[in-house]
Amino acid sequence: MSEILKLSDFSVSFDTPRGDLHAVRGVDLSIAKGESIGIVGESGSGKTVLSRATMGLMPSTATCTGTVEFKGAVISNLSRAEVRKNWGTGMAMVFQDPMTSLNPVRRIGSQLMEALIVRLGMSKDQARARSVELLERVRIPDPYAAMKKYPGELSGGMRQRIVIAIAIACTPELLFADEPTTALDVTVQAQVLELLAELRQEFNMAMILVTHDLGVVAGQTDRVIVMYAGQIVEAASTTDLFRNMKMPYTEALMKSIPRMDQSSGQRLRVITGRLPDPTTPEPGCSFAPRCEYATDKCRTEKPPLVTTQTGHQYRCFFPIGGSL
Amino acid sequence: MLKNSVGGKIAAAWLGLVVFCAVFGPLLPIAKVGQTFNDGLHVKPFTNCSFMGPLSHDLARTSSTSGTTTTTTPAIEFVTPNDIAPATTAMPSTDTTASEGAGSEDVFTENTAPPMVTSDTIVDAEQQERDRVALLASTQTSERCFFLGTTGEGTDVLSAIINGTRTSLSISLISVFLGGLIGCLLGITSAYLRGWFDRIMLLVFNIILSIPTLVLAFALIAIFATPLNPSDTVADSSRLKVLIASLVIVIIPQLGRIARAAALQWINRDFVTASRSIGASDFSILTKRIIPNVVPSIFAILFLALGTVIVVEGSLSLLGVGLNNGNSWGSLLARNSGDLVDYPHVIYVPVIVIAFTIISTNKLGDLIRASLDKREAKI
Amino acid sequence: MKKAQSLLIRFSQVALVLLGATFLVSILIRQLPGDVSLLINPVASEAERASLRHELGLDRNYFSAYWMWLSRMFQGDFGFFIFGGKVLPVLKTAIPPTLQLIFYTQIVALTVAVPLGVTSAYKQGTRFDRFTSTTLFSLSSIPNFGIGLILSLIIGVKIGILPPSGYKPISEGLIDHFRLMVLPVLTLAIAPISTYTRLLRAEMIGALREDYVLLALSKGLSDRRILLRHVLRPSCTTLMTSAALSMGGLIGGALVIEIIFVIPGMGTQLAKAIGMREFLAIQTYVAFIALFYITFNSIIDVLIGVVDPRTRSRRA
Repeated sequence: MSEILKLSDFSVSFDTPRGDLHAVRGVDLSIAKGESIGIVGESGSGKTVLSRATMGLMPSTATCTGTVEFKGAVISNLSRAEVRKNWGTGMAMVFQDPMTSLNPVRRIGSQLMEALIVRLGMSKDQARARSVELLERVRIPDPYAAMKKYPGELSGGMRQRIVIAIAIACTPELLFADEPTTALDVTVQAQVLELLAELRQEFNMAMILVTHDLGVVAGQTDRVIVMYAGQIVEAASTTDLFRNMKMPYTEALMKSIPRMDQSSGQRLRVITGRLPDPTTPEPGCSFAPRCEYATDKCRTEKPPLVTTQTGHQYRCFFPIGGSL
Repeated sequence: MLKNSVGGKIAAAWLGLVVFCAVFGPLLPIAKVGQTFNDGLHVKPFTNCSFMGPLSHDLARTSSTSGTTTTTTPAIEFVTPNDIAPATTAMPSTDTTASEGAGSEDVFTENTAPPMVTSDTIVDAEQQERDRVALLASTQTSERCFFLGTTGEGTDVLSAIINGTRTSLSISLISVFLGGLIGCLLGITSAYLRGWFDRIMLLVFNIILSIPTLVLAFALIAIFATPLNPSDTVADSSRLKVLIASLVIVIIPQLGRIARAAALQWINRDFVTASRSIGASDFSILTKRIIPNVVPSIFAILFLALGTVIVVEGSLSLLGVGLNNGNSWGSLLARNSGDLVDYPHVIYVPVIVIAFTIISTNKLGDLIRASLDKREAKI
Repeated sequence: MKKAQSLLIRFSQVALVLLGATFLVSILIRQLPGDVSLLINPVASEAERASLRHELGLDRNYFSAYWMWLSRMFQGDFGFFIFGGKVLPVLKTAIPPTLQLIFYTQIVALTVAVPLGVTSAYKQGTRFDRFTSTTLFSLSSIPNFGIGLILSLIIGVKIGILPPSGYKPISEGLIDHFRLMVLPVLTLAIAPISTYTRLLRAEMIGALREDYVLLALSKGLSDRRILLRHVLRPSCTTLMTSAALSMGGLIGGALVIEIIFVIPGMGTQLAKAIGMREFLAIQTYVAFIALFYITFNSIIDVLIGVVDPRTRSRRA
């Protein structure tokens, strides 16, 4: 399988009044064509920044280091105008909150047709026909009427479908889905995820699904990457991760999911403490202050990212189930 | 608040100077070049000229598009302050106290008026000046220095500006303070009580606001400070009172609406609901919870209003209903706008002073608002 | 159906405010000290004075006098000058110059402020942005009559490339008309340019942080297209509101500027009326200015509803 995206030693930091804020630290990652990976972590773990910075959608206060290769070509040192050529047609993004990611004062149709006309050079009529097809594809009832509506007239689930339609309009090869279901009702979440999976199959897109919910990645992705404080702390194929997790952090995340099979009245497990301050890095393992297994070694030395023979990566001195 | 802002410091310093001038300015007498020339060369304020004549007069002036905007009398062409000063050796300068005023006036007219002057109408007409104008005459032989030049009437611009500060500042301070106070009270009460009181207040505010500020102030002064008989004059002090009252009436709805909106924002906050739920009285909620939160944000707006009022005062003078005795910045400008071509500095100086003052009040208003926003963000 | 209903409510609110404003003015006029009839005819006999008072409605109560004035207005009788002549013909000649002044100013202000605001928002924090905002802040602090007098002096008299004052209607030659309008319009436009630019900049900087801008970016659209199509449009409503709000100041400014540039518009007429103690004319003038102001604001209000669907759905 050929790689579509490859990050090596990729870091993002923000220039803030309190000093440099390291949002993403030394991430190595590669994604094959058509592959689907999940990035999981708490809010503030750097997963959203990672996906946006990979695309190049960063404000000028951010500095990115390391290299990003897209389809074999380095894009991290390109100017914005050159990177832009990939947007829409090469990579596209579905944003977290469909309430804010559609322009409230423009009709759905014009927002959808815009990219088709500007990026693919379609005529207005072609674009309109294609837009209706796309809306049908994302299962919007009565697409002709929807084209003429403003985002404010549609429900959250409908809007997210439209955002997805916009994202896939130019048939990108890589789709970033940044918490695509977080802002939606539970009943709609499953439908949207299902839709994403179908579209991925249909267009043979690679997909990066960013979420804080391990449950979401379980059925959707080939591989899972767990991030903590801007670093990859565990990476494995989805089945391997769920059967054989190594990181105490992943375990803690897993335990904090409410489960149907638990008896009622039992307390939900929470991860105590907070994420470390990204402006002042910890001397040791960044999860150590919150880890129930942490030792002195964890607090003073940084654990390296270990790769096992099966390709399972983790960043811990004392992995669950012992080091292999 | 001022610590990190150079602009803010300069603004505060300038306003300090303005306040200083307002307090002590009247101690400095208004210097005049020589009353001698006043009568023959007196140029009426521009505004008067434009509406005293019939319509055709205006049209005639309109069609003469080149040349000046003024109705300059020919005589003024050869008079410049420098010409005047050496010519009148017994030049009357001014320095007196109010008690001496009336007495010295007689001495002045008797001794120093050159033959060409029939009567000194300007001095007669202006009670306040009469109080100040006096004579150093017999002893004074040296030329007087007029740093910022003189007006067409021969008044020293610098001392006129400094003297005008008190009027200008007190007009804006008093009207903004009173208007702000009443407006805030009405606005906050109306926001708190809601119901019919709120509706009526809002309607009244909207009605008053539907007439542009300047037009309303104009109408108010026109009615209350204009004598029916054109030959009657209204005393400057009563004109001043009407001016301030009109400005207050104009300011009330503007600040009232802002205060109402601000109060509504706070009233819907949870902590107000909370104190209501534990049985706090309306009065204590208003005074302890709402007013302390609304007033600071109004304060920033009051600063901005100060500058606006100074401009409105000048505009009213130009329209012919404000003060026209040259005793405030705006009226000094309006009174001398007819001499634009020959005495441009008489325009520059008040304009610059007004502009500086407005920049300063705006700057301070912005700073206050910025520091409030920060405080707000912390809550 | 709902739309018609909300328009009707809006219209009745406007009518109420308009009635209130004119009523206020008519009450104010009644507060004149002394006997107005004496002013009109100082040597009138008691009977003549009584008939004059009756004619002016001075012997009625506030409401019936107001009603009399209002019904006369609707019949096209806009009152008369005490010193002879009807108000209507004067009004007809005075309104066009003032309206022209105000509309040219709005057009100039918007055409200057929109590009300036968009550019400073896009180049936020750069030298261009700081220079623009400082310059506009200082310029807008100079009182408009000051700017007018100085411009008239420097450009009109000293340099002499433009006439320093005067007015010519369009019918007497378009070029002359515009040459005379340049200075007064420039004078008036400075304050709204500053307001609009600052507002648009702030509004666009806010809008640039919105998710929908990121989405538009991720579609691969150019910055230019995003600024103009995605960011400017939602910011426009604020600009329109501000244009409506600044109208009051602009009307007041226009009155003063007319005096300075000797334009025979409403300002000149108002000043003339006050000089001649023409209180009846003043009442009509003020009523007309209020009418114009309120109408303009309502039009803008409706337009905002057209441009911004958010307000439409909120109202429905």
